[in-house]
Amino acid sequence: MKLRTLVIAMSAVAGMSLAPAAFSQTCSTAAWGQGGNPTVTPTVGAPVPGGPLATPTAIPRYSGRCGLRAPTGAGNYVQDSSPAAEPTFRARFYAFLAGTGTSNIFRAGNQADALTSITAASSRILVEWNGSNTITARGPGGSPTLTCSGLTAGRWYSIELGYNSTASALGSGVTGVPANSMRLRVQNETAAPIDCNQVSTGGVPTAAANNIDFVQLGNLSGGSSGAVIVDSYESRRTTHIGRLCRGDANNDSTRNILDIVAIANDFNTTVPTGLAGGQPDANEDGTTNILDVVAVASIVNSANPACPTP
Amino acid sequence: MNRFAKVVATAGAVSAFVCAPAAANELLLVDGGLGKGGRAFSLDFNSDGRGTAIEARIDVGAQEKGARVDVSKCVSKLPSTHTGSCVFNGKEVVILVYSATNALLPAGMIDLGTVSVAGAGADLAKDMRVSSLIVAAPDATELRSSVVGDSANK
Repeated sequence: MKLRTLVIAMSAVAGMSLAPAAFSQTCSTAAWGQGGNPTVTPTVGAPVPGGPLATPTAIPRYSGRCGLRAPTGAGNYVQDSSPAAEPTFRARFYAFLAGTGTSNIFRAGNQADALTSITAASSRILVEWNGSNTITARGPGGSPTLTCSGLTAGRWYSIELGYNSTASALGSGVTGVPANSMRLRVQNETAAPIDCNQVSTGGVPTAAANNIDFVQLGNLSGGSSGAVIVDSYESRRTTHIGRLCRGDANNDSTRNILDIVAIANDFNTTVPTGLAGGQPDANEDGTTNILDVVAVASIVNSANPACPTP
Repeated sequence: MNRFAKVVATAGAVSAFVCAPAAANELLLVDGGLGKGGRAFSLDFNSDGRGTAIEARIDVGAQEKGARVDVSKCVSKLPSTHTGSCVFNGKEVVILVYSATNALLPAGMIDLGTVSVAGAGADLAKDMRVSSLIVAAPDATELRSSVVGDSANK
């Protein structure tokens, strides 16, 4: 069952003129800040929603037309308390990893965990990027610890978490989460492909204090010297989420010549409505350009261009 | 329609397009028959001037018999605004024609070159079939298109 899909939404706001330049890109974090226990504001600090046409600094996005840039320094993030005492929880988001300092980029907590106490001791799940090559996910109070190394700064990675504080397994196989356990999966399909899939053996006790009531995403804490970019957050109670279809630029669940045209439009456009609504950054490097056309052409030329099952 | 008549009809269509705007996006396959070098198909695209990109997936129908598929003379004469690729992936020939700026393909006949099948099983290539043809408009929507001359559209 899907819990939440929290996008950094975009709407085109008409100006006073009919000229295309009168359209401005408005990306919003208004979808965040839902729920009530605890009551949360949509944003803390100054995370900046925006897209490739944002000024003065373009903001990479993985899917749709907007991403979220959490500026350098701790305390710039979005949060939401739609989860309501969830003993099982799955979340997936994309992170464009950069910076040179350690920062916590995702946290899921219980209502008893202080909202501003960004520590493993007061979190049910805490995800850390070490600023160079490693993502670590920690469970309730800091344990279990799951680590994915060998990552490269300056690339998009999907980060998927499975959390199960019940005595029953959640699914099975490479996407399942055993009873009272946790899973971390980090994937990138391009330049240095990686599929790191770690699962704990236990470590997540059944307890009301381990139920999840809120999430936070962005630059939560730590000394990152670079902005954290995140996009495409989705959460569910039980079922596996999986990756979005890379290169499906027009978001029609197939990859063909129409995606190549959509990507060309994306990097040639000067107006938000020209941006591709799917996943045009096919080489996952943070920008759309002719390299993405080549990447999608390579997929279309293959014997199996269909989008993989998540 | 026999092969000779079909070629004549195609040539007639070409001359007609010189005088009148093209009315369809058609991929035309002409079977050159089985010769010493195998069986060659010439490929032309009759553009209505509204498309920017083409994807054609062609089942050559003979690979399982050990035939060799030659795509070296495919998409070698495209308009300067466009680039293309022609790949045999072991299952089918995939032709892509596109523009980095989404320039329109010129109206009229565009030579997409030839695909040849040689070696054992080459004769089976007479069953060459276009399994998918997509002609894209600059707004990334699909335009109406059709195939003439493959085994399913003779």
